[in-house]
Amino acid sequence: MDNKTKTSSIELRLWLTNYEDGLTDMFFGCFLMITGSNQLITWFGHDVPVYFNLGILVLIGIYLLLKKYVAQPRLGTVKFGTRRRRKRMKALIIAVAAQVFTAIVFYFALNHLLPQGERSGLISLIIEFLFFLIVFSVIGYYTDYKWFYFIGVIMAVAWPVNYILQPYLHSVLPGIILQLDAGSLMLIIGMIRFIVFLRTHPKQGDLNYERQ
Amino acid sequence: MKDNNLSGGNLFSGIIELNKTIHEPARIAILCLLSSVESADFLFIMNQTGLTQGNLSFHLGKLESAGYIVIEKRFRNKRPNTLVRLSDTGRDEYRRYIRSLREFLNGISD
Repeated sequence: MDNKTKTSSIELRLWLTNYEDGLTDMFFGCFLMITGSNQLITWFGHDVPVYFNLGILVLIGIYLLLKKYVAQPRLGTVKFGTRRRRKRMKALIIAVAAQVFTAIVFYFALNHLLPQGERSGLISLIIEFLFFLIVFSVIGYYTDYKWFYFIGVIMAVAWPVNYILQPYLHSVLPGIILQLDAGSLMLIIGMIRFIVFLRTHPKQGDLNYERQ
Repeated sequence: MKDNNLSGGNLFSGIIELNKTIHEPARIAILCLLSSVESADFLFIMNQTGLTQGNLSFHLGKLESAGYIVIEKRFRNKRPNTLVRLSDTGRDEYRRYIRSLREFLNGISD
């Protein structure tokens, strides 16, 4: 048992090297900023979900390219065991299921198929709060990426903050600012980590095993 | 001879009979890393262990000769890449080594 625990802790530390380049922090920082700015655009009367989806797709593309051409040649490659791959798959399934669920709810909302009124608004807020919190926490647990808990809280709190403050401020800006600030924070931390990573892991050319 | 055994010869047999191929800090680190993952390339092992290219090549060579690891040379994105993984023998020997070392260390007070 002790042996198993020790191996797991080393495996976890090796797994966390995936995040030490800061690219994932930068990716999710931008993700939060895109969701925030998308709401801002919607608030100004331009309903453009395409902007959000395109933004995320471009972001994923840039992230994968940087991982492949900047991080990997400096860090090397590693293939993790079945346990880790299973955890990663679970996180992916939950993320996809959450996307599908969100798309269905969005479709219902656009076609005015959801119940309207003060009470149903509150209920949907609570569901949304729990949805974001639970989904991001579970993904955070499976990927061992602690920032997911933070993203979950920010995403979950953004709408309720608007709901509570809107009658007084007549604006949805507090929730948006919350997401933009949180995103900026993650982006800055990611950039610092990325610079440190580039300095501590210079590109080493073709380093390979040479029989001696 | 008999007296020597009675006066504690068996007491240290665990540590005396430790696998000498594994019992070297760099090789322990390499095997520990490889036992935690399915496979890793040369650069990743080098980064994590902090060994130099020459040093790592030397220790990987020793472990490969003993049959504890499998080294696969391949091309990735048109560049040579060395993939390393633990063999079944290597995994068994590493576990046995850890078990023996732990048993011995458990009997020592600080």
